[in-house]
Amino acid sequence: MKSHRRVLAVTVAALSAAVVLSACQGGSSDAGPPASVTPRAITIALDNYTDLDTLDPQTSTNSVAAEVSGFMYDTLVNVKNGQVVSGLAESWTAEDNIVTFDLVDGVTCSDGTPLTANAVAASMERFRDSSPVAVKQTGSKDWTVTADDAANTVTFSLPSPFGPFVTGIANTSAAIVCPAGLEAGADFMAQSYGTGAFVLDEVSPGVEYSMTAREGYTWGAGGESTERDDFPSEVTFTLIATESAAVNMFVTDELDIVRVYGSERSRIEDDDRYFGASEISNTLFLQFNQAPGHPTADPAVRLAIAQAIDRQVLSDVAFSGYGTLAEDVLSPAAACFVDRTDVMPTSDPEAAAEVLSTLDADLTILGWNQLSSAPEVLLTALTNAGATAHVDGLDAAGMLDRQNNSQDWDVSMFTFSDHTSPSNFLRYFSGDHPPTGNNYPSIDNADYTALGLQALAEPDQDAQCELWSQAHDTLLESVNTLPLSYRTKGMFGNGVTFEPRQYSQLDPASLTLTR
Amino acid sequence: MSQVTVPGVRAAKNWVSAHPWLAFIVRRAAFLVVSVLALALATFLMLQLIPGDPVTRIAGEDATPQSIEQLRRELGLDRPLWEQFTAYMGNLLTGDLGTSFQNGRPVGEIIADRLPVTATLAACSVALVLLISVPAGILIGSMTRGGRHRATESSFVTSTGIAAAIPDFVAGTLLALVFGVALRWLPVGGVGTAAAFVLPVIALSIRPVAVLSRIIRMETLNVLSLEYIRTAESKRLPPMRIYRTHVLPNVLTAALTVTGLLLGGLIGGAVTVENVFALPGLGTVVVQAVTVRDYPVIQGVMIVLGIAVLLINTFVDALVALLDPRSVLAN
Repeated sequence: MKSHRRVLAVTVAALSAAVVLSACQGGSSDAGPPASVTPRAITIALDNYTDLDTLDPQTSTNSVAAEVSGFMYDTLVNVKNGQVVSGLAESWTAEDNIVTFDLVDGVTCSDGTPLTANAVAASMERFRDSSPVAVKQTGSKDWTVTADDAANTVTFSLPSPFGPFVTGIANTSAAIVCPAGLEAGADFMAQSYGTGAFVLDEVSPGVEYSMTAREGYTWGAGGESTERDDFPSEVTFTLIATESAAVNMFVTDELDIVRVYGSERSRIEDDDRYFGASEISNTLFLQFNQAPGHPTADPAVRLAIAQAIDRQVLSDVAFSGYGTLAEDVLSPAAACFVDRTDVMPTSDPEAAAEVLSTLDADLTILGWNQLSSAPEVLLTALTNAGATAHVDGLDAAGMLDRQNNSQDWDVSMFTFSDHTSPSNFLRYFSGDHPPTGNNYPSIDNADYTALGLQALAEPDQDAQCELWSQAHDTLLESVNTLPLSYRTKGMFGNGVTFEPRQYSQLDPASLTLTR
Repeated sequence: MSQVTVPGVRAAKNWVSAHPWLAFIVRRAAFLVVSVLALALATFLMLQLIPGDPVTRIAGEDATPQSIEQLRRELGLDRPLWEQFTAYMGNLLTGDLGTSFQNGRPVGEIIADRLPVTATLAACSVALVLLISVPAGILIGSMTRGGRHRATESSFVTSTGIAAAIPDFVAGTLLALVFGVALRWLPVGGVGTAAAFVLPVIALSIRPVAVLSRIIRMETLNVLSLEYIRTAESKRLPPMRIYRTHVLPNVLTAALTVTGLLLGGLIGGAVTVENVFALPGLGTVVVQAVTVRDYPVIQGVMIVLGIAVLLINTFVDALVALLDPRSVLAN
């Protein structure tokens, strides 16, 4: 019996020690560059913990695919730190409705064939004709593209000036597919047809996507070269189902790069063994259904709802303390961003109660189920102000469905990832309600629409931003929408550093091994 | 009061009495077919109840109303519900589980890729559960027979009671943190090595081990209290012989029946455990599919898992019938 007790005591002690160790680990540092590193394979957890649909960059509809494709396919330009930098084009000019790109010399496809201006033009025509986002990124499908192989330039003729054209084609959907990929029977899940830093090696759908670094790649974002000893020899993107599992694998060296949105971040963010960066991934909005018949069609009700809440509290609750208070409809990384906090309604529960307590309606709040208890906090704020309301908690698919396909809601609490360009908002905040348009909150703000259309046609960047600024002011003054919080994602590297680029994706050419 | 017997019914009864094994097989086969049909119908209807339009989700935020409608037509989701169901059942009968809404891959291919991981996990768990529960249950049963070793009995009952109450994902998370993250003894994710299955199998087995060992202990106590055991003991037969020839077969019959039920639970538990340990099995597939409302994948996986559970239960019933033919005759 005594020996049994001893065994039990030792087991309990071992488990306790293990638990304590797991809680207390960290703190040591291997910061600082090593004397030398050898190229090695690295493993990256797919962003958003979801699988991709296809590795054809031009026809994909998901952001996870865009990042993975972006390792194998290059765009004409890139956006880093809010600035447009070179990609396959080393320079560009935009004048009225003509945009010309000077291509980098010596670019080759992964099969070794030189990339000509005509090949670029053919790929852009495929993008225009087959990409689901071609109109959004370039303003229309009515543009033409011509190539001059001798001068190594491509020129776009737009039907009318479209200010965001250059930044629009930094989207991976406009990545250049080499001629072999334009042929019938091209299989993007079996091989890659790009000029990118990596070449597709092996695909195991829903599990992992492996690629090998190519040699001689010197045309990364901003002219970055991967001809370095500290560049990974192979990259494998792997699908991990949960953040918790991904962080477990990261701290046990089974993953080299992980992106974390939730509170699991606290396990690694202060550990100086890991490289860390934080990027704004999307913006949480309070949207109001302004279709006739809804109480929220009344600007006074919308203002009262905005006054009933404390944006900071909702921001903190929604993202477990990892959200930052939204200052504009745009992301701070977007061109034309302005801190517009002063234009947004401030918390004033008493003023809110005067309006909401007289409201003869039961407000339906759509709350995304990834926002912790933020929808319930909103509900409490509204009921405290005298309103009658209820929350319908839904997952992302349910939110999109209810917002777009029904009128059975008054207030919606959901994120928006299309916040990096002001033009993206125009189709959601003006025009027809689905199914004939994308204006799901049924916003009817003629000033916003007019200013937005003017901005789209304005080629000068500063003048364009001034128009967008006025447009966004009018949206917020009318409380047509209310930005609440920027959702951030922690990006962590274990023995590898990196830089983000457009859409907070990893810039492949920036990967640098530190051990 | 005289009993009226319809001639057809009497003939059927006579046939069953004459061919009990054949009747058993026919009965199980009919049950299997009806169950699969009910499963298919339930899966189809359940998906319709989940809020969320798969087309809106798959088309993405950038989709235009036109592209959404086009995609809806391409996926056949613009058709009436009954048409969708008949098409689905028609395909199902020919073995066609459809193609994934998300990536266009045949669902059969996706399941074939992932089934080995889930099957390995479930099979290893069953083996572990039986290897631990049967000897442990019999041992504790024999030790605590007739009110002996009260402390052992209460320790066993308490510990198995606690273990039976621990959800799979909690056990998995704790095991990963202790033996993976802190001690670094075992991997916490992936399927690169056999070691990657150790923690998931343990996480999945804790509850069934606790439940089954309790049942086997009770069954052992029941068998040991029977007349023929006392007779065998009075004949001074060696204890090992008594346990091997008299106790074990009786206990195994009960254990098998419960194991069949536990396996159904194990397959359900595998869905959560796979997600905790990032194992690319059917569990992770179905969770991903639910997120994007990939109906064909959800339906396909549910049908396959459902059929697996039904087949296992049928197999167990057959095994029990072989071990104890009276159960067939009684039915």
